[in-house]
Amino acid sequence: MDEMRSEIRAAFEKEQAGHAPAAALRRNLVEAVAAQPEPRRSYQWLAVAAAVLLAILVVAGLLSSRALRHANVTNPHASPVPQATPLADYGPPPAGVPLLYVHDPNHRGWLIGYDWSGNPRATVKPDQAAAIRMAPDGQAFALGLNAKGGTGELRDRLGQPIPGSGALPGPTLPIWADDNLHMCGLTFDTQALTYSLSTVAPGEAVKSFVVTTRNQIGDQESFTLTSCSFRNDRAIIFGGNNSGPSEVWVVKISDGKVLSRTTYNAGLLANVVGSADAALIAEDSGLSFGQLGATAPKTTIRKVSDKSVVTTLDPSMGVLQFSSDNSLVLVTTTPWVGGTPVHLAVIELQSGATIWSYSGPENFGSSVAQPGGRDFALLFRPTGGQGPEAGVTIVHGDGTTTQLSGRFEPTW
Amino acid sequence: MSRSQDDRTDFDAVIGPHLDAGYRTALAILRDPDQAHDVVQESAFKAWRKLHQLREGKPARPWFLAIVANQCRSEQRTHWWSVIRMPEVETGVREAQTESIDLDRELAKLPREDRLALFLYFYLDLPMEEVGAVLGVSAGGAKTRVYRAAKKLRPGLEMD
Repeated sequence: MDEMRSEIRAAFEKEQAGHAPAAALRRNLVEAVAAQPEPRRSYQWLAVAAAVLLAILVVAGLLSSRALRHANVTNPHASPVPQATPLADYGPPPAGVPLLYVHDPNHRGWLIGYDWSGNPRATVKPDQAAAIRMAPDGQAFALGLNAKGGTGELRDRLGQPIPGSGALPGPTLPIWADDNLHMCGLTFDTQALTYSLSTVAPGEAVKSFVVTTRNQIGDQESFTLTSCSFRNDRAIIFGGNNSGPSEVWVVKISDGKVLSRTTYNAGLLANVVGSADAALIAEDSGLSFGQLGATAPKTTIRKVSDKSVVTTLDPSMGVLQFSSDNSLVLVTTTPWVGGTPVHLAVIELQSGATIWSYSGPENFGSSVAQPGGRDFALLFRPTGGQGPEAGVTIVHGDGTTTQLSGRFEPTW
Repeated sequence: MSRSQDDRTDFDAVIGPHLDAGYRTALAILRDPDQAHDVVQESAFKAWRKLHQLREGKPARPWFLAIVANQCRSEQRTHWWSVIRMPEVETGVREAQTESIDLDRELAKLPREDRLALFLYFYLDLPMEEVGAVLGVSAGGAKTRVYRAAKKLRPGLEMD
């Protein structure tokens, strides 16, 4: 086996070439770590980097504007720089209609809202468009949601600030609750070594409850929030380490009380996915991640209430998302392997029938489930593509699809 | 010397030497330098918070690399579309290079855990005990994982 060392080392060397760690990596990280005891100190380091980047951009901007003036002087017949124009202004969003928002490709600060039939229905002009994320029904927005350091500061359906809204504390990756109003996140207290469940709603202060005590967190274990249902007053959290999820906690949102705690043998599961209403849970087999072999358990979907099995799927399938009515699941049908476009399917839970599948060359990005319905909106990026733009395909509950014309940067 | 200076000295002495390896490990798993940088930074903070666990006598390198590997996993769960980018594939290669190009491709296609095992053993030259500590298995288990992963690249391979 060791005769392969030089070949494998050379292959990794090729991958690493050009991305060597910064010379000051150690000094910068040690400085940042030692600077403050709070976890948010890491963002100080980022802030410094951002400030440096900003300074570079300012200098580059000044230089380019100077160069442009110079070009105009030396070539008075040069064509004028084309001005970007929006696709159209579709007006304010219709009330009560769930919309899928994407950035207007010709006007970065505007958002276009498409209905679930694929028709443009609204143009929203938020006060801040960077890192804005829509609620699943498109009736609210949050800033920085799912972005590092993002607190999910809330915006109304027109993308404008909502006075009095709190922001989730600390570095957290909040998710939208099933009511499309609240957001929920897990925060880790570095002093007490506990995880807390925090929730926030428009115009309200943040509420937090400690969920795990110090002694309940295993070595190198981290926790992830997968469902937050205000309709059922229940959140689903799973914990695990490098070997995969090893426990699932069901927590009452209103008071933080732990309703149940289920443990799994380490290394069997690759992921845990809860339905939006926290009624169902999918235990994705390790094989869906390319781990394990003949010993892999099946991917299993259970009711959270009594842990009874709703259905089982082939171990190579990993559930990505439930439809809002819990009748369908979006799954990967090939193991999740780096460097290879994953194959997908939508499966009906009751019959096990595959109503739609995809095995094309594009890379799947992310999905959003139609509020109250059976559709999914999926993002696909071209293989090797690095930019944020993606194609949007709406997979309807009957297996038909609608493709949005063009490529967009999504807000989900 | 102040308390923060003591802590900084401790952290630098214990974890500092392994930050580069942490970054390279994250890069091998995520194949995105920006994400790798974020991950090693987040891992450094986790290591800082849990430094007391290390002082129970564990070796620092596998302990820190395990935190990095775990953080990569969390990152992939959150932004998992970014880990399925196709690697750059060269075209028009000479025939003599075909074998190494094939190995590059096969390596890029390996599951994360397989790549991690190979990277730790063959690239970072970690002994099997430390590979096992990062992967959460015994040294024997680590050897099996490395062998199985290498066998996916060379099906006829036999374990030493």
